[in-house]
Amino acid sequence: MERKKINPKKYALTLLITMILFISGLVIGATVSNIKLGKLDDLQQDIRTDTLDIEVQYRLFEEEPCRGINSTPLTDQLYELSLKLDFMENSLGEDDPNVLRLKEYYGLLELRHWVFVRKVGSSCNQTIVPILYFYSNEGDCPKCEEQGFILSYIRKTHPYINVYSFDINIDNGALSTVKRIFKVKDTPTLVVVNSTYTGFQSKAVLKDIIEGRSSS
Amino acid sequence: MTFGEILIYCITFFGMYTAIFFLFTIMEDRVHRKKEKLTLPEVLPTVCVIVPCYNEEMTVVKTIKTLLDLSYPKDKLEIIVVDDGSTDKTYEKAQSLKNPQVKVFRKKNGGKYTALNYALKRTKAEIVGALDADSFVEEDALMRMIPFFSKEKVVAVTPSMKIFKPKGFLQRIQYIEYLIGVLLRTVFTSLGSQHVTPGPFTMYKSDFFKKHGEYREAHMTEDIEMALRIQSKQLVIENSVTSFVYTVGPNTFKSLYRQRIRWYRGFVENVLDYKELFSRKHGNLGMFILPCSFISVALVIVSIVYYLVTLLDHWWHVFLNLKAVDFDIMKLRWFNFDLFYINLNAIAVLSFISLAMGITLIVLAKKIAEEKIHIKYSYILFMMVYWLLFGFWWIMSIGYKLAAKKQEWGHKSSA
Repeated sequence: MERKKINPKKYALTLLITMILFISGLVIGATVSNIKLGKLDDLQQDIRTDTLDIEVQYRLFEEEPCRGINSTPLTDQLYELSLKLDFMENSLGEDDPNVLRLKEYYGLLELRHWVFVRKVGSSCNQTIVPILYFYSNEGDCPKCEEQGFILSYIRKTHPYINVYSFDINIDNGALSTVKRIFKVKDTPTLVVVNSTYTGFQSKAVLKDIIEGRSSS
Repeated sequence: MTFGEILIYCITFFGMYTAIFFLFTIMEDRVHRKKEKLTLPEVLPTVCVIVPCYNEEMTVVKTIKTLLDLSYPKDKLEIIVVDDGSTDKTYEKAQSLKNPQVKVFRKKNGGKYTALNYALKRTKAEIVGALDADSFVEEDALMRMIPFFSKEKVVAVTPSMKIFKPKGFLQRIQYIEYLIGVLLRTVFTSLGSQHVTPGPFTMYKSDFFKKHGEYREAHMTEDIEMALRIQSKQLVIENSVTSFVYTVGPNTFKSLYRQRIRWYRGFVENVLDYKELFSRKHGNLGMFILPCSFISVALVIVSIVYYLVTLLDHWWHVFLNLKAVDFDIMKLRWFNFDLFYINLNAIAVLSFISLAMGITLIVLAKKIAEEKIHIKYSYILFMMVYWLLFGFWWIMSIGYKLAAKKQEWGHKSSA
């Protein structure tokens, strides 16, 4: 019957080792996540430099604004950043302060790019259709995921479309101004060039809107 | 933190704690076994092995032959075959052996425990055990068990069970499951907490039956009841880890399912019958091993339900998204490899540690069971599939219990 007896020391030692292993796991996981956030910071810095580079190019070619301007690498970089941000949001949670800070900064970068692309489009007579997409991931927009998926599809099938996504719950001066100008109050909302479309837009409807805009 | 994250943290913490505790126990057990030197008694006890059978014409002769091949004095070993009302030629096949050590009886069908009790009444042996007609023993299995009976409080000695020549996915899963069973039995014995004495070839002192009663119906799991009865009487169950018994595992999902429903439901019913075991008086068994059995089942069930719901929800959304683009999947970029997307967060690290511990336990189990050690992919596959099956069987067992559905025997081999 000796074996049956509880040995409190053994149970306590097991608890101690388990806690050490468990906390080590938590620490390693947190360290790796922080390294990833650092990488995201690097990517942001690259985009900042590229944006400035293109703006300088734009000023240099002000006399002949449509020669040599190519914003495709920057658009791709922004898209890559958005994918990584989505991944970090899923991994760390949408309320993580680092994620929120990065999202806010990303939003501003997008707006800066949007302004730039509109300028290039109008000055150089290029067919570029910029779309602002406002979503919410606080559980109050059941159709947002589907709308986002349609926009990803449209972006891949129509290379002249640029999609800029904004979390409606993130607020800063520039974003508030855009929301006010285009009367954005609900989600999902799309701003295609200068027109606002509130509510879910199916693939067919969205194609009609875009084709109407690109031909006009 | 989401419910899913809390659940994963609970499962990994619980898994790590029990795995480390079991590793400690195995280390302690090794030290203890080295100190304790057991020897065979000068006069070997008489032994009776009962072979209860029902429609086992294909295997009964082979089973009896393996018993006759046991390295044990022939005048001290008797084999009683009880045909429990078979409708095939089991009785004729068993009788065809014509060996003085073998006695063959036939009775009306009444269930396994009635066949065992029928034989108990017809033997005077000091040590009694059973062997199902679909199981086989190694030559020295019995001789290795005998020294354990020299201790006064020991009333039962369990063998190590293995799956006989596993073929196909289901039997391979059972093969690893039984290997882990060998390890767990070593741990439970060391903690004085064995709560199942396997039907095939667990040997008992016949005095126990005289003092504490014969086999009982026990919700068709008489082996669980026997172990719990022994524990409730504060007696000891030993484990002869090198006494190997081979059993044929169910090879169809249906037969495996029915066997497990019987085992798990029988476990719950018998533990409820012996709920007094959940007390400090019963030490490790009452305060750790039995509660842990129920906690692990609860965690597996909750996790399976949660992940199935999450997975269904996820795929439903994938379906809706694809429908929204008229299933034009060729134009979508599905995979963009970048090291960045390898999700090495806290949960992933903890899961990796748990997986490593799981594989360590399987390797250790193979060593204890004297199997050749090769790390195979099947171990990982086993761990992934087994918890799903385990949870599914438990959900169905509890469902049947709540619906008060009649128990069925399922696969012929016992628990």
